Amino acid sequence: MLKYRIYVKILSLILVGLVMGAFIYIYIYSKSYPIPIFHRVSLDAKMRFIRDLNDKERFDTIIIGSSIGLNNIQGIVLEESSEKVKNVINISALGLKMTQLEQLLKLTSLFPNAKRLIHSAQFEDFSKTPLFKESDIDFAKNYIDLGKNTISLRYSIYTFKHLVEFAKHHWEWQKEHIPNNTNFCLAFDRTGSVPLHIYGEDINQRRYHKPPPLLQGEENFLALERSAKLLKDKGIQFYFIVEPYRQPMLDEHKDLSAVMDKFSKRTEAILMRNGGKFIDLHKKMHLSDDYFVDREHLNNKGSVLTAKEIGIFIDDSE
Amino acid sequence: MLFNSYEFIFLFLPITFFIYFYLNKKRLTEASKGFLVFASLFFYSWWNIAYLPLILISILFNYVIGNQLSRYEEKKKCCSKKALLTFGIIANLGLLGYFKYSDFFIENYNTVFDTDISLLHLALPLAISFYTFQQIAYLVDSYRSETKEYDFINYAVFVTFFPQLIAGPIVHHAEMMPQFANVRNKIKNYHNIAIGLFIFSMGLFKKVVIADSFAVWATKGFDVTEKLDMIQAWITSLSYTFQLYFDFSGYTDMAIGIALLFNIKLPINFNSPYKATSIQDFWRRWHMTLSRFLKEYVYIPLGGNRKGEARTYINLFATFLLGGIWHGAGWTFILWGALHGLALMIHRSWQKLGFKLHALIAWFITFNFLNITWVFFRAKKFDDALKVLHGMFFGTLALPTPLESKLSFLKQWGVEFGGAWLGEVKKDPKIAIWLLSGFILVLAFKNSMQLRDKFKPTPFYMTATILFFLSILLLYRKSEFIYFNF
Repeated sequence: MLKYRIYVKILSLILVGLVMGAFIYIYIYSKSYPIPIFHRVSLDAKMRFIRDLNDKERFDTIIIGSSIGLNNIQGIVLEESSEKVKNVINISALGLKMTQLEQLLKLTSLFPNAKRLIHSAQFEDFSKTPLFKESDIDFAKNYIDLGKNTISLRYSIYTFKHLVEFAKHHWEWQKEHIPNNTNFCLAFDRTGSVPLHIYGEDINQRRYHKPPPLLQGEENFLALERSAKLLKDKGIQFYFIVEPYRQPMLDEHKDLSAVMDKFSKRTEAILMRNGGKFIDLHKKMHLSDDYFVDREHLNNKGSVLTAKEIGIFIDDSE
Repeated sequence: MLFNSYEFIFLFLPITFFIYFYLNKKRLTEASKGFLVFASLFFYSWWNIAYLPLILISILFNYVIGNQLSRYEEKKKCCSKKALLTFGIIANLGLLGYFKYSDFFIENYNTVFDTDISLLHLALPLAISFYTFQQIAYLVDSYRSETKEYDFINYAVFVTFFPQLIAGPIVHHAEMMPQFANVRNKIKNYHNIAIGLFIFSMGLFKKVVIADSFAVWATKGFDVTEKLDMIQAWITSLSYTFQLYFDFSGYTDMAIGIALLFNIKLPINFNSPYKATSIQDFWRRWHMTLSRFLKEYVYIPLGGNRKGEARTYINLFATFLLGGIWHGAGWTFILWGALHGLALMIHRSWQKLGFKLHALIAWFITFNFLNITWVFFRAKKFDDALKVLHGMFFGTLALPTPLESKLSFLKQWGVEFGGAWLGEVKKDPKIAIWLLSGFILVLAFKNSMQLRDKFKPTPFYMTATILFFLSILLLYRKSEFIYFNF
């Protein structure tokens, strides 16, 4: 049995040591790993990616979207295939819905010379989902403003409060940022896109064959309308791309085909009303199954083709 | 400010602790008390500074009235002693009633008289129920000449002392004032610090890890009351039963632990209440300082058991009805209080008749009674409570398919087979483990006060304290204590 005085001193030392150790870990690693701002590693990793970009003024084209935006357009190919597009930044992240993307449009102010914004989407991005807290968006903007490999005391304290989640991000990032054969790969190319090198046996059969829920949230269409108006007011040309879908799935599930058709028509009408440009790549490209890693995500070959097609569309439109 | 917040644990508490003892070390005892009042008011204002004047006025008012009452004989008499006390109590209850019960009263008035008076929508000032009761007790004791002469700073420390300010324990001046006055309590006491840290960390663990985990299932169930089947309804009610206990006893442990750091011993508030084998036993173990207040300042003044059997029953019922109303302005709380009052009456007559139950059966009945009545305590509306209870007793029950051949006759009473059998548990198997752990923790383990008494400065307790403190890793979930609403 220890003396109480000694006991308290040892205990205090251990507790202070643990807290200091955790803080030092945070301070060192939050410089180079995504901190949990939105509490989803894909979007948080994208925030870190944007923070670390030099010369944000150079970007003239922003790609935005869910995994459909992240995986289905290769930014580098788009730069190479278009005469108008010079520098692309892809700020898409896994699982984002239209209502959330509307909130993330605030981030476009980080790229003052952006001339166009490409929203790559599918009807699944218009299902219901909770919104981000507005304060989180501002918090993310300030985080990005810190600059490459930099963390402030404020963000260190914030990360310390989310220590477990940060450690999880740290671990997940280690695992996911290396190019791999999963749909959740976060190995951004220099523009922030993630081409998927998934072929043959690596294809996730469940995602390849199983139809998704068909529910569409009305608030997403309203968000699209507002976004189109906002971009028009800002003088940014809005391109809305309906991405390809596996045709055999649509042939097999007529209800799915009907939802997609309706989605395409509704979004086109919204874009037309608000001065945006619209293209349905599914109807235009008729891609075979060789280009898909699941029902709607394209593999590397497919995302090269869509990027080229979008490049041509932009050149023709401007 | 919440005990389970980073601001409190890493800034407020250590800074207050060190400054308080530094001032005492420099023999600035009055300044140290003043600092403690300032720190406590800062702690209170962190929630909403708008209500700071309210608590200050309340303290000042009760101090003046209390002083008048305790030195009534020496002072100029404006009115009778009893009138002064009545005025003090009415003023306190008026303040509490205005903020807590106005809308409830208006709503019911509108319903009964078919009027359309607008609601006031007042935010309930934090801790108002607690500091009001505490000060009413002080006034009554001053009237009984049971208080000593206290200066304003001493009185302000007694009311505002931050560990107990927000949600109790409801302290008595007679147990607090001598402690604040004791010179030996002005020096850091490593024995108290060691135990205080242990109790505080255990309370933190109870709140952040256990109560907040049960809260997820309880909230989920009460949010969708109409769709609950039998299993879901029981999961919901049991989750709340455990959430409430671990939340409130966790808070109390933290309060007791913090107070010990300042060499102040707060009264025990919980003594393994879910081990109770009768409703009377339960109220001797649950929120003990509220029970003490109700007994000393409501039940006994009403006559207690001294005015005949019938009156005793009425007093019991009235006391618990008041206890229900104290918890909140709503018919669900009133019914909850009434049910407990009724149960105490039944228990009393049961005892009088000399019946005895096996301890296990007695525990089973008591626990289930509590579990059922907590549904009224938790539900926002009376209808919601009834729907949960309907789910618990008449909801769909699905049994495993293999039993169908033998028990198919149960179908006529609505029992189903296969499909939804333990669907909720299958979806989220953790709930079964948590509920089982909940029962084990409340029934088989020693409570925190028993552990406090056994505390020794050994590596075992040090490791336990450190492990409990790791709960801070979950503080980002931010949740208030349930009793902050009362």
